Amino acid sequence: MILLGNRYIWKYHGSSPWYIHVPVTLIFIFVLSLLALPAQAAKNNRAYIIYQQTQGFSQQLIEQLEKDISRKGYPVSKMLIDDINKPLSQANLLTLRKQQLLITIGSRVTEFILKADIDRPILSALIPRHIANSLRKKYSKNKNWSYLLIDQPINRQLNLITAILGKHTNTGVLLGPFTKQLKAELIKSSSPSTNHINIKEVDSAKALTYSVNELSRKNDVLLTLPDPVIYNKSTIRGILLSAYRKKLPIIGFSKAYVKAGAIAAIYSKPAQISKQLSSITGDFFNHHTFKKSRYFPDDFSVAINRSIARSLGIKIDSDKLIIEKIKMAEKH
Amino acid sequence: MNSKYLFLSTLLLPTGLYAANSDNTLAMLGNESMYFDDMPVVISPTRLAQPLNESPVSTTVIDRQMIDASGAQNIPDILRLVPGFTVGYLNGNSPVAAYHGQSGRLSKRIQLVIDGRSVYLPTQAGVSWSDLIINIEDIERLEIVRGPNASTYGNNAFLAVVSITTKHASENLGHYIKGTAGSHDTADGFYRFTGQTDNLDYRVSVGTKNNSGTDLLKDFTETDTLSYRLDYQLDLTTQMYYSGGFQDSQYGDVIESASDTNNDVEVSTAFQHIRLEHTFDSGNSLNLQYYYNYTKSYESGIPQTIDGSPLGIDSFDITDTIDLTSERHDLELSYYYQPLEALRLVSGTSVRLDKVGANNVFDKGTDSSLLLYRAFTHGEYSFNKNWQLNAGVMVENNEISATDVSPRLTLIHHLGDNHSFRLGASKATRTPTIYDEYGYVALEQTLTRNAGQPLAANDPLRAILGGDQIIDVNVFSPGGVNAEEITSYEFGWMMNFINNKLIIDIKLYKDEISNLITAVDQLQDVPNENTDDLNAALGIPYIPGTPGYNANAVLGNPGAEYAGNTTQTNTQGLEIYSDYQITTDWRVYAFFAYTEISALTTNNNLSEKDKRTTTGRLEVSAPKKSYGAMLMKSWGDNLNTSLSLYHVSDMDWLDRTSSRNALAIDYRDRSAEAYTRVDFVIRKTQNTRNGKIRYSFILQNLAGEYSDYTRSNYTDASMQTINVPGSIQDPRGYFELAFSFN
Repeated sequence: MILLGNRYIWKYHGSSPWYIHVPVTLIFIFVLSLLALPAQAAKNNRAYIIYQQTQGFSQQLIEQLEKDISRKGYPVSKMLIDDINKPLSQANLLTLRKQQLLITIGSRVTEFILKADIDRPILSALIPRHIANSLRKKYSKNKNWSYLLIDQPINRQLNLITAILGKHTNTGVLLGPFTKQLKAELIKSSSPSTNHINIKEVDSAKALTYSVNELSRKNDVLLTLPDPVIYNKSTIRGILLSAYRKKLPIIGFSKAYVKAGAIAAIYSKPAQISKQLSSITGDFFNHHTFKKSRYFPDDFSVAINRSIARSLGIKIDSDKLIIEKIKMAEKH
Repeated sequence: MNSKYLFLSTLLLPTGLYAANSDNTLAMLGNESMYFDDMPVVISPTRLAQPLNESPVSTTVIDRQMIDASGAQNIPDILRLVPGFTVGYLNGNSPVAAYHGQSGRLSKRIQLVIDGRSVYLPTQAGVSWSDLIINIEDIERLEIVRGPNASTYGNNAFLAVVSITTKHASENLGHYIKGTAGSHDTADGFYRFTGQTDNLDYRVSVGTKNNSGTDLLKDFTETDTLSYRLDYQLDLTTQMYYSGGFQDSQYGDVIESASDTNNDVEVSTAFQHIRLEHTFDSGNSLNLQYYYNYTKSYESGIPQTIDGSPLGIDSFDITDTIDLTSERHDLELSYYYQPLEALRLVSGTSVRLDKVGANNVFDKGTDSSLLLYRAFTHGEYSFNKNWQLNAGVMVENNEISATDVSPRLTLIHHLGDNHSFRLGASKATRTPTIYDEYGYVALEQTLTRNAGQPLAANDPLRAILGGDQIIDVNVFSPGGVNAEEITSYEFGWMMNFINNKLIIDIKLYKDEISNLITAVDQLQDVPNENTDDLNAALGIPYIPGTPGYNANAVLGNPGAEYAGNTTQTNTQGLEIYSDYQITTDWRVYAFFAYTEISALTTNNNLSEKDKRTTTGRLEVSAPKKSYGAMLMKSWGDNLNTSLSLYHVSDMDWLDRTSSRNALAIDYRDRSAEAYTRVDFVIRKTQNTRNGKIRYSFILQNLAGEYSDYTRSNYTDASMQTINVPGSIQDPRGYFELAFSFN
């Protein structure tokens, strides 16, 4: 294109004196080069999505992400890791080492790639906070790693509680081995005028219902923070039933939790996560660095179990109004 | 990739590229799947409790904290907290709870449901509160519907429904051991183990209760219980509940005095209950349940020798043995659905088979089973956020009272967030029992002379008796008994303040009951009976219209007792309760009830005096006034105390004229005296290395002794005080030691 353009210009200005058309041509070439740079850059700035699961939420996210990043003008490639217990093949390793940005989907693939020490910038998605903290500690040498958490910021969850139950709410929180590190953040977020937070720490799943019953005495709501020791398939029945019988509404951490019996949850849909990931990707390609090492989801949805709310005698606004209230609170 | 390249690449690979399992951080941390994985629907729509201010009938909920704070040793004691309920101890092993009176030792007009299973006894038409196969430790809460609710619970939900919900098997994991010792030689023990796997929660409980009963009666209790419960999550949307239990009990005779000879009551009970619950994506759910109840009670009567010498025949013994067996099979299908955002419905159908077996209670050849079919639907429609209509209907068909229809309609108005008003009307029926319809209790004794020789063909007694048997019928039901009917009107006002921390509920009501089934004396000779012929031959005249004991009769009197629809009552009153969570540490619950009953009998066989006795007793079968309060306080450091006060004015239980003393009908006092009861409970929990220990002291009747069913002194017709062995509730104390560990 550039050469052709030069020839065309050369011909057009063929009759001009050399001391005019040569500098003009050079300046023109320079300007054209600048204009062409993004296209060239886009061609080189390939986003490489590495994933393990090809179903469910991950699959929806990957499909959306391909579209969103492509829409920004960056090519996208994908690599499926069949078995994270096997080493990455040399061919794949070489492929990945040529990429400008690796986007890993899910915590297992993320650890797999971090371990592989590929030395390329990595942007990870669908990472739980407790796993991110652990990986950050373990792979502290990797400075060029940023991640978008699945978890919603604690303040946002507290704003959800305020939007549902009003101010001056006593919020109980069970912290387990993987969420203990959030204690300081929770205490910092605690405020008598909005949410007063009461924390109970547990080391194991034993006597969980007893802990829930204890929290129910002094709290208006139980905020769940994902800790695999406390909240898993075995414990969910006891926790939800104990809390319900104590008339203690539960704020879940996923849509599924709400369906199971929690009163509400904030979560981000694949499209919302994809939009933010593509935005971070664009920023990265423009500045060649991540703005933050850790991102919380920007956009979110709410799930409300209105049957539970009704049964507990709690009147709840529409989803739309709740989201507006939360966003309003975040602005302030 | 060829092998050469593979070899080369292997050499070049950094060691860190291997994600060895042993070094996998995520092996411990799990992964993000907990955010996305589907979870089982734990709290399905059918398990949701209706908000109290949307309940179509006044409802009181007694939660676990109140159960603990009450210090109750059995379920009727918990019901003392419910406005309109009266609790009495016929004796130490027969607690009875009644709502709005009109009750004897079996709470005939209350439906008792445990986890959706009716425990109403078809043989005796009522609830035997001592034989429920349930331990208070396993109860999560009681919901008491104070009013008829047959459209939801079926017939026999006549005056009230007590619905007991036990803890889910996933709660209180691990081992739990409790021992109780205290007054009247109380020695109770309880052990429970609760465990779980990924999809299964299970619980096994065993318990024993032992005490010597009250001071004046021979009314000890020895009960052993085994029960179990499984909650299994078949898949994400289908749950299975299965529970069962057995109880073996021996009780000191229910009604006799301490001087009686040994004729204890043995009761064996068992049940099996299975339920499948499927929740659809739409939120609708389908339930299928089956349960089986079994009860066998046996009481050997006191042998009584009949002197045959006046007739020149051999003397013989009669023993009034009670040997009853009842079985209930019930299969129910129900569907919860929400066709519109504002409309929620539950519809269903069920079939029930009651079978009874009893020696000497039914005429030979009588069909001792009763089949009942039922279809119901009830729902709630919200016109807007302020107005709701709650309606339901149950249609039942059985072989005795044919088809009964029980409708209910309630209009609820919410005035702002704090006030809800309800105006409701409902009809309910109580089906006569098999005993009411087919009861036949008779002594049939073949007479002999000369040490066992049959009566000769020309023996004059044959001519008098029409054979060689003397037949004395005590109960003879001619059949044709209709179902009792109640029409109830209710106006309710519920107030919620401070985010539901303060609840006040006021209920004004009027209940009109017709066709009340009562025991009626049939004065005429019943078919086959020949005692009157014998008495006449012996010159003992029968005087019509004078039922009762005739000391001269050889074998009782002619005539028999039968169940008849002879009475109607009107009950009206006011009930208030308030539950206030003052702070997280202080809670107070209080109630008041005023009850007024008027009765009318249509039994023309009764003399005017007996009519007045019958209606008069019904009119005082509930205390005019009762009130109470319970103050609960948590002191921190796992120390909890509660102080309860109850006051109940005097009343009569309908069966105060027990066989203990037939003259009791002339006593001027009511059988249950007015009393004030004060209880105090202190519980302290301590953490140990392995679990928790809880010490509890329970002190009851601190305000002094009283009799709430059968008093121990009466004023007779001549104003003299007669002392009789009554059931005395004296000050008593219990110490409980409980240990829970994993």
